[in-house]
Amino acid sequence: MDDSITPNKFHDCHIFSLSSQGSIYTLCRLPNPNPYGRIRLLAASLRRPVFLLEFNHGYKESLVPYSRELSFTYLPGNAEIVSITSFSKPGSSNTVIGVAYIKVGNTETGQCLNIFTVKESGSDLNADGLAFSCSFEINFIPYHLTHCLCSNEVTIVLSGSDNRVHLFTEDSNTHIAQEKIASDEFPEFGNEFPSVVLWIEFHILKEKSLRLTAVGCECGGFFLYVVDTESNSIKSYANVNHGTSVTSSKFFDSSDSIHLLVTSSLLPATVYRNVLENQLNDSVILVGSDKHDVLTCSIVCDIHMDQLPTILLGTYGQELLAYRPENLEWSLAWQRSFSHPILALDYCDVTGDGVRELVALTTRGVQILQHDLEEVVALFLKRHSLSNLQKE
Amino acid sequence: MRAVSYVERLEFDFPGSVFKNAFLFGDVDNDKCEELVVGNENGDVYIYKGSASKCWRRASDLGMVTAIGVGDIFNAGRNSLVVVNGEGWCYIFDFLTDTCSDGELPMKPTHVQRIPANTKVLLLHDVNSDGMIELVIGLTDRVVRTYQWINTKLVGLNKWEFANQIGTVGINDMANRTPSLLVAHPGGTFIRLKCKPLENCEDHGKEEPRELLSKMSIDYHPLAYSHMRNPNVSTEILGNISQGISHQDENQGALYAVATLDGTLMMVRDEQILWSLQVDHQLFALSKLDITGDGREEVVACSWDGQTYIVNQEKQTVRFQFDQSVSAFTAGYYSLNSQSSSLPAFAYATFHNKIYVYYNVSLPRITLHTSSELLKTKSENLDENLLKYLTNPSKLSEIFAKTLYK
Repeated sequence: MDDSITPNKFHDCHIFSLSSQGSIYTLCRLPNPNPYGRIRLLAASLRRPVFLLEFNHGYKESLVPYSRELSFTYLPGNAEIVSITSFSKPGSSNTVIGVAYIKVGNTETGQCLNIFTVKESGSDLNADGLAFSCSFEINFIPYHLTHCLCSNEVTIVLSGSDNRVHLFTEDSNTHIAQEKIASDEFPEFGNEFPSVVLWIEFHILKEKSLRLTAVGCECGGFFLYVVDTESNSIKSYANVNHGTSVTSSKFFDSSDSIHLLVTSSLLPATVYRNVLENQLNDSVILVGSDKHDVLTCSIVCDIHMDQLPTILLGTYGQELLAYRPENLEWSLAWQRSFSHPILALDYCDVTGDGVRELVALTTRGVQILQHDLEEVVALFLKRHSLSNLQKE
Repeated sequence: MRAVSYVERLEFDFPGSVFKNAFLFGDVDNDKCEELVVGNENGDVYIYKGSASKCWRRASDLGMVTAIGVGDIFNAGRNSLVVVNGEGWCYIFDFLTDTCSDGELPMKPTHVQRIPANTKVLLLHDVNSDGMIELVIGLTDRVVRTYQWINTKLVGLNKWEFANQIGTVGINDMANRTPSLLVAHPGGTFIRLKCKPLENCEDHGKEEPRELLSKMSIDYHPLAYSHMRNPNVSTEILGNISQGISHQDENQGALYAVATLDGTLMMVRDEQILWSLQVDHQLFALSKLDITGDGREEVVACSWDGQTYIVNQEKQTVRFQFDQSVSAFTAGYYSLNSQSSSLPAFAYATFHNKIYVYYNVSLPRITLHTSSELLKTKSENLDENLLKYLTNPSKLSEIFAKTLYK
């Protein structure tokens, strides 16, 4: 079918250089796009600053890349940022940014979770609009920081070196963060895990009031929970061992069922099919995905624009691997070399034209790759005229 | 400033240090495929061809190779390789009767000639518009000389001596399409040498000997630029930057670029500065290459620390950071194999016995654009449903997202 674009035809859009290396946890999107509909990204490097990356209008309608340091107060100079996350609370336009860091040095050491609330003052997100912030001392080394929308409230989820997953909420009125008891709303985090949790992934099914939670551990242990969000009870539970550290996992919808992609550091990535029914019993291996050093990150997206999911795997061996469904298997469709090891991936519209861009955090910076616009516009016009014909 | 990262590259092992003018792309063997020629200060010259990591041809014991040129020095309609060393020897290699097996045996020069020592730049061009290619050399002794191949040897034509050190020597066409030599001087200044006798002298010039030096004009151009910080800083000059057919004006001279080590890059035409760009890196090498494929050449300036600026004629800039310190840089075309066409390429010689060739450096455009802007350029073929959204970018991007991703 000639209804997709040429795979792996990208042009270098821009590379935002970072002063020091980030980690697999230091790239996230801001919840609210800028006024031109362009998605803004946050990228943190180990030795501070957190950068806001976006595209602005330049001379003659052209786009100009723009990066700005978000200078948060209460982020000490000796902080080493481990992970960041960003979200907005339901019914509020404020942006909340969570930063987990370690204080290194001779005098003051320890670990903290900072939660910043930034007022969205009209258009511009700037540090002056920082409305509230709170710093929360934690007694474990932070790992994956993420968030989950649960019963109309966003819970900040942070895994730690104590093999547990900790939950935090920020009170909307007092802006004081406090740790939540896990078993109340997140019964899946009630117990200690066998080793440090490296990756947590949620998938909410509102109409079924179910939450799927995937937890990957450093020892290779991988847990899948199906939680009933009405009664806050675990409906089902499964676990497998992946042998080597689980580096990421992603839920995705395809042909009316939910599948789960799991990457582990040294072994090939695995797709568990239809996890709602089969849990972790129906698996398929992405052959050859272990050939390029550690698998660091993954996304599942419609990068071919043909309504079929494509699995993109980022490797430390500077290769991006793309797997496509073929019958019941997944096979390597293409791969692309990068100039530096890949740490995190995203596929979102940073240019604000409706066409998404491939975003890769590498050890050097944040690289943005744009589709070949001639081809995308041709496909758009073709589909548009086709849909007009159908309407008539 | 937009930045890109190139990935596709070749890595060659090349021992020794490379002078910045002993490093260039050129078609030495006239097979319509460009090769990379590089010489070091130990007297080795290597020619790399295609994607093989081993050199294709090599020569050795050529002294301290300071400058290399590829061109039709014999005026025989084919390219030859000219290698000049600091000790004052000029070697010419001809690939017409090339029989040596792949890179094993060193090449033998077809012609060796003694010329003045201390050459630092070399140029092969018809500088006096007599239809014959001349060899132009610039010496560290503040001298520029031209030679022509006559019968069996290179014969000296002209010599100019200057008060100041020479940066580079460039060739630039003036408004009447006659070539002139640009000799860069410290502090972003240059001297224009018009080698062709002046127009008004031509009538009675027929009887006069052609070599009459007094008829040649020398102009000093200080290029008044207020931001010029240091009058002693070394300067690079690059002439004849192609403007493309659509932008060419017969009444104006060709564009040329001037770069200084303190980070000023200027685009100049007829001694008028069109624009200037200030960067915080030391620019030491200047090349031109059509990166976007629109027929208009971009200026490529490289700094010692590997920061490479690609600037188009509208002053729009893209950066590329090469990760290592650079001893020599060149931009040009390189052929990966004899079947495929030549690709625009950058080559970097490092201080660590390595050469890197980025062999596909083309970009669709220098500035960033979006799909909605591209759609506007196709507006004559659009139906009215889309036309009405062209002025509403947010609605248009919504339609794009819906149509492409469902």
